[in-house]
Amino acid sequence: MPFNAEKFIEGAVSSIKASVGNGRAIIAVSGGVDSSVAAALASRALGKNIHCMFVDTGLMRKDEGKRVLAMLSRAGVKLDVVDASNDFFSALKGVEEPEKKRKIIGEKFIRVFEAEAKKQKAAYLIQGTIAPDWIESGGGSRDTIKSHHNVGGLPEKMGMKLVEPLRDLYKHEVRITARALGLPPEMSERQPFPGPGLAVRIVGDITPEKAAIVREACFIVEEELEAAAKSGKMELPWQYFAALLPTKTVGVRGDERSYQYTVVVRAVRSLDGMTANFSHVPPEVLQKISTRITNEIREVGRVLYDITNKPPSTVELE
Amino acid sequence: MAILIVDMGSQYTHVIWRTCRDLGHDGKIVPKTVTRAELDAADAVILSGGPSSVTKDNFHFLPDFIKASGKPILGICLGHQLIAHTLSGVVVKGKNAEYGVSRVEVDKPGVLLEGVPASFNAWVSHFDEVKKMPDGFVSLAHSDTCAHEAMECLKKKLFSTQFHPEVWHTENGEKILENFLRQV
Repeated sequence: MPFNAEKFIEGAVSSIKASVGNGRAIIAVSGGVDSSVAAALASRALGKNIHCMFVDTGLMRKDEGKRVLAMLSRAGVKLDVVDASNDFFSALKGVEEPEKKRKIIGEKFIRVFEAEAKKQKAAYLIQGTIAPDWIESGGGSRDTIKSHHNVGGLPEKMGMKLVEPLRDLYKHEVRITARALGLPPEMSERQPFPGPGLAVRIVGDITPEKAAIVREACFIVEEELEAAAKSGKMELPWQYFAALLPTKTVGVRGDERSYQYTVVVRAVRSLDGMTANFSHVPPEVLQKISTRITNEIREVGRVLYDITNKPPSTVELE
Repeated sequence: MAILIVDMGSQYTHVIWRTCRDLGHDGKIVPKTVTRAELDAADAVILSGGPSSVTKDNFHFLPDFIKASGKPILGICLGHQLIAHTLSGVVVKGKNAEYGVSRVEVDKPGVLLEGVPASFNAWVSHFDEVKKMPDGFVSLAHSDTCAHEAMECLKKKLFSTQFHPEVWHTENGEKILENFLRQV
């Protein structure tokens, strides 16, 4: 039988009830479809015994905090916003190794949740972990491709019990569930965004300046590809964004030599994120993106388009 | 009907489970240390891919089961290589690796590739390959870099593919899994 959302919702609600009982749970929402669905299921199962929070890591998309707050309040979810950006940036300072970054972020998230759980007297943490998260995090004979912040990035000791209602689902099934739960399309159809945020779109060490560059570049890519898809020039990719390389290259601007950063544009087609192929973006759309990025972001001097499939690459760069 | 999916460390083991479910079959994922009794109790077995090599790793009760079970078995990637290696075929490091898309040319559809176009895009991720098939097997398809992309031995009910029929990017992948599940 193909995936049956009604049956899944029924099973998930009763299993959340069974694991949390009369306890209280913290729900970490990021504004993405996975955590939104987890929150909606938890709300059905536990009623008022949940506390939703959004952690601003400083590594989010442009205007994300405001956007998520508005989106979730329209969906009737009350949300606590915690600004932990200074904390995240200082913990990540000088760290280049992608796995180390992911583990620092996983641990930071948990510490923020723990502090909140203590205030709320909550013993449970409900997360929107989906199948590719634990698959790629490795285990047994399966190699670790990347430690997802909500699985392989979790610290060994944590003061809350984990509840993960979406563990067996893939993105397309989460979307079907979101629609069945009546979540608005801006939520159910939103493109995936990695848990560690822009941290994995900055190759090498992370600074607030680099985060600002890649945030703006991501915004331009999103705007242009969404416009191109809307006008029928191409299909909207499954995921689309920009990443910043630590490499500087030489250019010429207004008859002057420049020496600036390189941005990679990435757009892929997929169903479940397990395999992907690069999107065939029309050259005129790529040209517009490249021109806008180099004109609007002073620190960027070169733009590349990533033409690698998964495998051998992954969707994100780290 | 019980389909046992043996996890040999593939990124796609759970995707095999999902695709079986989509096709109306309940699968159960077990580790490669699965006991002979549990293997014998299954109606069919699917051997996943994995990061190791048939010559370097321990596959516990799987080789004996492949040799003697008589149950339908589908090997995928490493599973394909394990079937070949167990039955005295030859598995070696290929001249070239292949990752991502590969164009598969069907030489003889047999049962496994029945109803599939003569040429299609499949998703692959391997360096090792089957250089010589075991006796009694028929090669069903090849690609530019790999001589045996699929093979089968109807007498022994053994079927295998080097590519991954379970992933969304492989064209006709569901059809191929359906062809196998029909043998159960």
